[in-house]
Amino acid sequence: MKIGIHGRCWVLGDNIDTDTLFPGRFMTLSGATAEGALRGLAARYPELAARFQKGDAIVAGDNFGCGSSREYAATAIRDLGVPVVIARSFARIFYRNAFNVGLPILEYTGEAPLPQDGPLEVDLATGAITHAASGEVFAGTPVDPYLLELLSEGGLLPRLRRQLNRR
Amino acid sequence: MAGQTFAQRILGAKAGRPVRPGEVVDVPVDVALTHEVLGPPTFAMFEELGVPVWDPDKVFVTIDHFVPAATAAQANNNRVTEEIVRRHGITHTAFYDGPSHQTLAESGMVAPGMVVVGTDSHTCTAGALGAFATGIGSTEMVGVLATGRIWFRVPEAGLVELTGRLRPGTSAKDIVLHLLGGLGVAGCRYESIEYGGPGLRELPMDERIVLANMAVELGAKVGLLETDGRTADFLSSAPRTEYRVESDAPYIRRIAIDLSELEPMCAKPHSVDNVAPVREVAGKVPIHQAFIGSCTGGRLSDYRVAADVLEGHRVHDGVRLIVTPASKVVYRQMLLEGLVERLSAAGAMVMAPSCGPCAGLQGGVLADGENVISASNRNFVGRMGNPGANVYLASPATVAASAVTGTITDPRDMM
Ligand code: SF4
Repeated sequence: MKIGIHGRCWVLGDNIDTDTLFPGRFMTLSGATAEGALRGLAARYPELAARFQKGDAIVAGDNFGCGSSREYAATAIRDLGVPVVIARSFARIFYRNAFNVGLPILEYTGEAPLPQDGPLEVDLATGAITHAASGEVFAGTPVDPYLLELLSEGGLLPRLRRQLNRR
Repeated sequence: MAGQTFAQRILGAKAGRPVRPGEVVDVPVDVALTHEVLGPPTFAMFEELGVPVWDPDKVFVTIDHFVPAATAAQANNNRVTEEIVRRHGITHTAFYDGPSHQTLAESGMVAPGMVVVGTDSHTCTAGALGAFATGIGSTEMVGVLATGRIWFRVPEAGLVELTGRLRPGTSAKDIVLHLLGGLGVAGCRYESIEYGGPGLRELPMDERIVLANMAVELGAKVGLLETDGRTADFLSSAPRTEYRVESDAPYIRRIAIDLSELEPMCAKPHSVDNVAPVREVAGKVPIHQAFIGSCTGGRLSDYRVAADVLEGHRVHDGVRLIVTPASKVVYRQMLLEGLVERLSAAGAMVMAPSCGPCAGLQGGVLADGENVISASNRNFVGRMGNPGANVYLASPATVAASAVTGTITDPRDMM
């Protein structure tokens, strides 16, 4: 599964928690809104919040998505139009939630920082991140084939609906 | 082939092939647990799919948090939960019987080698019975209810080898607090924490359950224990599989603990890894409430030791000692053994089996600025219902001793 990053990469730090990604006070009865994620990120990353464009990716440090288990954090980032989140590591529950809601994520294992000027091509199956301009390749952890399929089906609920319709 | 961790063995058996840490497997679920707090929203989502529950005999639904209901909203919510069970023909329930993790363990539904999932983080408790048991989100539970399957990334595992015997005044709670002090709240993130060794096999089931129960406080996905004849007796069946540690398994961490060297420990506010020996804190913290209960500290052996500590004493003026047994089975056994009488004689309030003050949803909420010493499992800000209160976590023996003196006290000083 190959994902193109045509916009820019927003670089965030370590331990970005779900309260930053999606503050509890923006939770509504109808669930998550992408808007909520931007307003949450604005507290720590005002420039991102002001200039984010659909298609921009997020690049973060360790333990991305830590904190409470709220699934909304992953949903809201997906709905913002982030094509992929690349991080050094992900918190366990965020990792599960991302695949279950159909948000592509990749663990980055390379030494050098990723170039911020796209376009980049991310191959989830091999973990390779290719910088189009220089042809340089950066290494990430390949995503398990089971999870690639789950992503290609749009996540858990779309998969379920499709399975149930086939019956 | 090299040895395998418990997690590998269970998930491999379910997947029908050998598995390695890091790979993803899709496995059948043996038991799905939900309760009145997350059950209604989960079932609301599930019912939109318009399909039947994959196997109503494998679902276990409890009413344990809002018990007895403190508000009309809680009572209405409990009724919704009862209706869900009826609507879907679910056969296994524990309504108003005590925390789900204890009632599930007593239900006979869980056996070694099973996969158990629940919409509650302490679902890992069933790991004491040799089941790969873990908490999941509501959407994932919708998937389980519809298909009976779930995916897991096979976790890396760490091994805790126990030798020796616990000395009087110490218990399994002190083992976990000791580990938390060393590893921290995220020390075992995504891992399987696996317990074995001669020291483990000496522990009664009541104590073993605490080790699995608090695996999640260490950040672990599952806590798995060796199983043996005691496990079989508890389940009143021969275990289908005896799990013994395979020492050549790819453990990423090995910790050895000599139980005879442990001393009473406590976790200070507001994090479970803010741990210190009780000796260091003793006499410095006045106590307003003491709580012996929850899925961590509400079993028979807990009340036996508490009654022994309280023998010949009265709960200190200005301390409320609250007891909520972890199940009706425990409660009735307490009656038979005279424990209710002994605890009451010392001044304890023995209340209904339920989550009680653990989650701060009913009976036993604290006043601003109060200190509580609790045999439960979490102490973050607001956990027991008031963000202005301070929660200290310790063993039932330490809680009982502190209830008598009105300040945090080492139980060995009263034995
Ligand atoms: S007793 Fe406490 S930790 Fe256990 S299930 Fe109830 S609220 Fe959760």
